[in-house]
Amino acid sequence: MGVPASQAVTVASYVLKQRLIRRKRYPLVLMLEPLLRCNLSCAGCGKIQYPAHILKHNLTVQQCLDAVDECGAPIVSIPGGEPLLYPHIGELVEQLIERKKYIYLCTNALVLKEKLDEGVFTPSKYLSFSVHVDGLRQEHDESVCRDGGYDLAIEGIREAVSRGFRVTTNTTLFDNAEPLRVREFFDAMMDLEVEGMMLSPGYNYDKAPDQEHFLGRERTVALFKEILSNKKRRWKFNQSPLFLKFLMGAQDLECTPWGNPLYNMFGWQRPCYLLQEGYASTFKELMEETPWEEFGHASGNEKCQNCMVHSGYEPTAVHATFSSLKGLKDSAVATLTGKI
Amino acid sequence: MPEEESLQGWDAIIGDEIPLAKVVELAFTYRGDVSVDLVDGTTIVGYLFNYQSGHTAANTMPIAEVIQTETGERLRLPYNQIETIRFTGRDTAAGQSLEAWQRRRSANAKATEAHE
Repeated sequence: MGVPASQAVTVASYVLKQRLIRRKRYPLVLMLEPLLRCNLSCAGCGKIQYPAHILKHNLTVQQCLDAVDECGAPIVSIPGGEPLLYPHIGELVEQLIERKKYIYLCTNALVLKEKLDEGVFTPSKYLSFSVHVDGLRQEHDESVCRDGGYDLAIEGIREAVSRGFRVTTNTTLFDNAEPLRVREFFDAMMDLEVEGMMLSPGYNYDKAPDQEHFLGRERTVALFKEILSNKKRRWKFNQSPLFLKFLMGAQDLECTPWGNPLYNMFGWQRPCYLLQEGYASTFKELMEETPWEEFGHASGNEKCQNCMVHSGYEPTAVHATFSSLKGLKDSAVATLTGKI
Repeated sequence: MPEEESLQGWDAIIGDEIPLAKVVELAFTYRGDVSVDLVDGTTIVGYLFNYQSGHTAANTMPIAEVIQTETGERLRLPYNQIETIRFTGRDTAAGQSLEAWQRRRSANAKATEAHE
């Protein structure tokens, strides 16, 4: 699997420490949105539809760092909006690296080459560009509603890889995904020498322009079974093997809505990265005053019934990996053999 | 989101059928600015980004939180100070459908072909 050893050790130590101190709920990845504006307007995204004065707003670097310190998660994912539009992105990344946080900078890469040419970033084991690519040229351009988006993303990936940066891809699949085309896409990404790929079924945001192509659970499982059965050894995924098994219907997991908490200009989003039911002013308030039993598949909450998104289930998979010998063994076997 | 479902332009009339709490919830999910008319006769224009209808450790009364359009200032408005809410700003989630983009894309392709 495509997670570097130092990162795996950091996450393992963190999870084991939480277990030792018997902390019932803990975050694994902080989703930090320093801004909400984007240079794309993707069909499946419900994150950027706001009035102009909201889209113009940037968190300060200090606000971002306070959230990172308050949360304490070992991994910080920076989505948005498009984080490369954040005017202080270089300084923020530098500060996070100083704090030894593993960073996934989630970008559509439209301006990645430009930022690299400007020298905004320096390669580090802590920094990975997680480039949004939803398939081969036709599928990606359709998904991001922009012709030429794929070519720019690929150019950005090539440039970052050639300069020695860690690069992963982040792919959301909808019900129009064709398994053979997705497998071709995996080959194309591995040809670019990315470190690993991340996959997730799309979540049906209320505000997403395209409401017709979100996957239900059964369809998700059927699709991922078809895509990942006979997985090629050369395909590397920057994800827990247990999560991929879950997507294929071979592993039962329950959602961990507090696993990837989201902080942005409004505060700490309740209850999770996807549902937007209000904001807490502190991380402590989010953790202590959110009625967690009302969320997740088992709760019966209808908004959670079709969700199999990585932000809710990857933390469960990581927790499960370190909760039993079987979980650890399954993950180790998948890592060593390349089989899911 | 289908355009016909947009609340843009709606002036809520608070009453038994539509209580204030429901209108605040609708304003929270609305992706445009609103005008909040207060009982003292003033109006706050901005984006209603949060509400707390229940009692929590931090709040003893239901409140709505608004970021003002002009100043960016954040205001916490207790429900008992709100007269009504009007959905006056453009609904940014409306009219942005995938189909609309596909239509624009097709029209652009035809225009390019014609130009060539």
